[in-house]
Amino acid sequence: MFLRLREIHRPRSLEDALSLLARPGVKPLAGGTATVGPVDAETTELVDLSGLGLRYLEASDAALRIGATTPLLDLRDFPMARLVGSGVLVSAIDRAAPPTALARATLGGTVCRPERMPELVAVLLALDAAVEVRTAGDPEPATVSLAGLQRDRGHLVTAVILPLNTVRLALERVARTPRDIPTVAVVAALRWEEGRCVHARIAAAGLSAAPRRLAAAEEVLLGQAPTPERVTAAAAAARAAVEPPDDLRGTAEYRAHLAEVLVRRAVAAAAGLQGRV
Amino acid sequence: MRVQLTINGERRSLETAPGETLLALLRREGYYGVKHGCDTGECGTCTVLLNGRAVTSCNLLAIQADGAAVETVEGLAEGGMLHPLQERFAEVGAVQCGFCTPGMLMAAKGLLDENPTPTEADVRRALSSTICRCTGYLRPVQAVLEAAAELRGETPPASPSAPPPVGGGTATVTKQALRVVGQPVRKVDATKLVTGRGTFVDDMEFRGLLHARLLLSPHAHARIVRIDASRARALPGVHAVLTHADVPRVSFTTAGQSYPEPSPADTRSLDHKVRFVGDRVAAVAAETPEIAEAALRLIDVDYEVLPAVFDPEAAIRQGAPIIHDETDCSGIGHYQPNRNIAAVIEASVGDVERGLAEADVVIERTYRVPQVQQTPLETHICITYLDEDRRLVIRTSTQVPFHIRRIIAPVLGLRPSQMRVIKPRIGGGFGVKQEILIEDICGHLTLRTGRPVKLELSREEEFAASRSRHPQVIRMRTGVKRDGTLTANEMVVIANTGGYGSHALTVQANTGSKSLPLYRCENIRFHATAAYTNLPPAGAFRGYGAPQGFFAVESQMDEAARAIGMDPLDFRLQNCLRTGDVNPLAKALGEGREGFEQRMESCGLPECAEFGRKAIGWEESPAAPAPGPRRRGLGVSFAMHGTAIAGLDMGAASLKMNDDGSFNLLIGATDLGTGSDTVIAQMVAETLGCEVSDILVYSSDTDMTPFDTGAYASSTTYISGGAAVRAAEDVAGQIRGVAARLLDTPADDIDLRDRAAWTPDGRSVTLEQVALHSLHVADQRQIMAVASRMSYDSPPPFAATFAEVEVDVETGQVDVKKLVMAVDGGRVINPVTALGQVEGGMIQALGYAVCEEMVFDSAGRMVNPSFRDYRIPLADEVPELVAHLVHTDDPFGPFGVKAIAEIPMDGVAPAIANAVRDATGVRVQAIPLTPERVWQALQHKE
Repeated sequence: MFLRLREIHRPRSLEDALSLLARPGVKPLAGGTATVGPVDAETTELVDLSGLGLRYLEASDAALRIGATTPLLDLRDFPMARLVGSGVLVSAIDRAAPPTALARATLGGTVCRPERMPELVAVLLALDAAVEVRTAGDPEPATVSLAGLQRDRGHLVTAVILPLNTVRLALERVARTPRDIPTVAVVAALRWEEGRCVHARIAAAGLSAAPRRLAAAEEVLLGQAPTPERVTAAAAAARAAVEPPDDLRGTAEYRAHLAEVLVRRAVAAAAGLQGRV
Repeated sequence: MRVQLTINGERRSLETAPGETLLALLRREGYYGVKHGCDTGECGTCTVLLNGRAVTSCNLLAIQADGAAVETVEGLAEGGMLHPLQERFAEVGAVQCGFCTPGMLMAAKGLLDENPTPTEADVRRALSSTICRCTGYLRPVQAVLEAAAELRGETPPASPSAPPPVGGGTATVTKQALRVVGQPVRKVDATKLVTGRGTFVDDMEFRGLLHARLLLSPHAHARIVRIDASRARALPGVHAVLTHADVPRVSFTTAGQSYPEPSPADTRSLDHKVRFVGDRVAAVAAETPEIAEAALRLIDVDYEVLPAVFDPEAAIRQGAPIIHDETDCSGIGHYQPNRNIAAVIEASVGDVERGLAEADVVIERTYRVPQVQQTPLETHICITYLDEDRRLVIRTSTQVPFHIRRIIAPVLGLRPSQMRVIKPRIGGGFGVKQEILIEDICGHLTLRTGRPVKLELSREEEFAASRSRHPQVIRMRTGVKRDGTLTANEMVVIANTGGYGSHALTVQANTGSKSLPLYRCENIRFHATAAYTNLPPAGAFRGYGAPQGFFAVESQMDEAARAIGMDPLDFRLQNCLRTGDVNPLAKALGEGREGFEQRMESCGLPECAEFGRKAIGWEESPAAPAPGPRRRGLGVSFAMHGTAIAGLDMGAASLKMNDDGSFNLLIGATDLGTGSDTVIAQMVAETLGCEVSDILVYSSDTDMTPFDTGAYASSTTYISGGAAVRAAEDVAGQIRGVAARLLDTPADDIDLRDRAAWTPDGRSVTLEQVALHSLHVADQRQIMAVASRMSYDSPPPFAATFAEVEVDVETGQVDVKKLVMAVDGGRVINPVTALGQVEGGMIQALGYAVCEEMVFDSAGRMVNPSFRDYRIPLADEVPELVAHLVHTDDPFGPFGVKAIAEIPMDGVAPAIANAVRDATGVRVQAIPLTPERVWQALQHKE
């Protein structure tokens, strides 16, 4: 329920959208699932992003490029998406929300408001997602890593790029119910060449305010052989490095414990060591 | 601005304000099948198809749908023919209250349009967008699968009496010469509910309707030292603002119980003191919800913040802040507001200390059960208006229309005769709508403005500012001998009733009176204290104290059995009550007064146990634990409930015959979605020898129907149904009398069946002929009767619940794989509605067991007042369910019925906790069994 909303703009160009969004009291409107509904006494104008031509999915050999206002359901049903991370991406989308929300919630909205679907954002982080951002006054888009995305006013996410790397992806989670936002979820994406780990992305939801990578655990693995000892060391490093939040889904103490258990399990799975660690 | 929409195939150009949601626009245009249950897209009752895709419309602006095709439930039926989805939903019992049904139907339609051959997993996934609090999802899933088959042109679906293919569920009903009773008759309100025509409170237009909103306290405990509403009153469009200075100060209880109320009179419509975060401070009525909301922000309140107390044990200690320090509150049951004690209850038989001394093993443990919310999908909603005689009409979503009229008349300064309370279809209650929560405020606003006023709680308010289940700390001491004899069983309860004492005495009494007597024991002691605190108040919630008690008792029985090396199921069967036993606590623990002795005339527990033993595979030797952290376990629990409040609950019925041989049945009974209108019509049709379709049921209108205490305490089928049967027997006698003259046969020889009166030699007159003769031809009289029923007996239903779990011992994650519940509900009037009660109750109880919990911060503010954070199991999150009905013959109720409504809440949590114990060796003494709670318990494993 908007108490002060006066106008909804429906710009046709990015330039118009960016200049509108620079004004105070103005909010972007993508799918609207997180914006419309509860009482909002602040917003005076909305900028509907649906006319900007940002609903698209493009696949190349190297990457999947997804327009920012593409609903998650479009991505989920895109044939290439099933291949990403052996289906981990699609199953994370399915867990993140019921179909009614996936039909409208956009990928751009998901990366801009990571608290809404933290597990899915952790998957995107582990997949090394990049984000294309436009800034008011700058005619050229900038591409930044999702991990480095600044979520402040004046910028507009226009696309998300998922590299199609050959990685082994594994996800481990603990939650109150099968579809709840997880207390902790850990996603490990590893690549091995000649018995050594040449690429490690370990991301987690529930171990910090917003999902983020666990660099300490990644470092333990990089350049090393996949041994049970290495996996255990990575898990211990993750636990030592995290300062988890304390909220209704779990205490900091419990989350620190889960950091170790779930990093160990996810890394073991992505290293082909299930049942041996 | 204008939007172009194609709604159900019709092109429309509609004016909309910038912030208007599609839901608001559709309802404004009369598409009432689109429901409002939250504002965040999480409950799914507002689901429509947008260009063929199921979306929620509450968090979608109308302008976002510009140019789109919108399909609502109103467009499903074509040419007067129900869509196969609607047909199957109605037929298999997928509709209970019907409030979430349109959303489920549209989600299913969206799925089937895209995928004509869905798997069960696909269907569960699609339905996961809609929360259903009534059905447990089993029957909606079945309905969608059957409709899909029908749409593919496959063989006709199985008959509804056959066990549903998904998960199972069967009724054991003995063969008897009954034609309507015992049949899976379609609910009398099913068709209107599946077409979206079911008229709920908000599904009507009122000219000049004002929208009310409540200003709620941001503080857990504070005095209002100054309140200035002048800025709010000056806002254009505001018609009234009420503060404590504007309404008479009348103490009453919101609990909605019989006179004299056992709950304390400790509440005022508006007070100068607030006692929890969410307590009422002021109310506004304005021309739009937005103006009302804006006006709330213009009310200036100065609070003197007082120290608050949230822990019930701390609240009753010396020196705690006194929550009810006013002089005008009063109560019974050792009511001591100056010590924050809302009620104390005590009962005992024998000598517990002696019993403990005689025991070989004493089990002493403390259990904790959480505060949980009922969450009917329709929140509290009420519309009040003045009729042409200037009487106040209250159209409200309630379980207790008659109690409302009597209890709030003095609050509004009216006599009950100046009021009329109407309950239309309501979207679930589960106890929270026994509470008289908003009707007084809405009434004040209509009396003040002379206008119709609507007051509807938001989902957040429903969570944080309505009512909930009493959280308790339960200390148990149990003595047992090596041969399995129980020598002592003691339960000491400290309950948290929150800021008000609604149901404090009676819920806590029920905690002991239902659970402790289930096991034979010579020495039993029960003591309960209900403490006021500054948390949101508790109240009535399906199960009414018993789920709390059974979690403790059934955990305790499991420990006792294990301590002496007995199988927990055999131990229970050795000790549980049998037919002919007497409940030793029933007399001591009445409804705020002395009760009545209860002798068990039927007990199907052995049959329930036998069914569950097989269904769960109790005897199968457990597979060797697989390598890794996952452990499997099985658990069992027993439960006993009651059927109505003995010597107190009363229902009445009025029945009259029409020209065509149909009957108007007027009952005070309040169908809150459970199907009571249907089962009562079945019993009446059985008695009159006609069909359910001949009975026109109208219920719950204080002007039109006789009295009924209301829909609570598992009473309706037994009490109100009994009244209706009595009226029907009287009417049947009158019909026989007329038929006797027409057929020249003694009335006693006449049999009513097939809509006719029959002589032993095969001659007959139709009921229509009897009616026409009696109304128009000779000895004219209206064939009609009224009757009421009360009972001093409250025959208990019984249940055995079995659970299979897998526990990850490294993380504490509990995965419930299967739940089996067998219930002895006496004779079952309608196996489909009865199984629906059991299945739905099992899933509500699963939430209580594993994931539901109101969480508060250190200032007493609920931190999870949304479906996102307060987790309720969804259609694709529930385990395999098996519900089973065991038939027993009980002498007291009409046709031998016992209750079935509440007992499904009682046994699931302990069965799962016992399964976790079986899997891990660890006793978790608190619910819900969240991963962290189980992990913590595993850390302390000796």
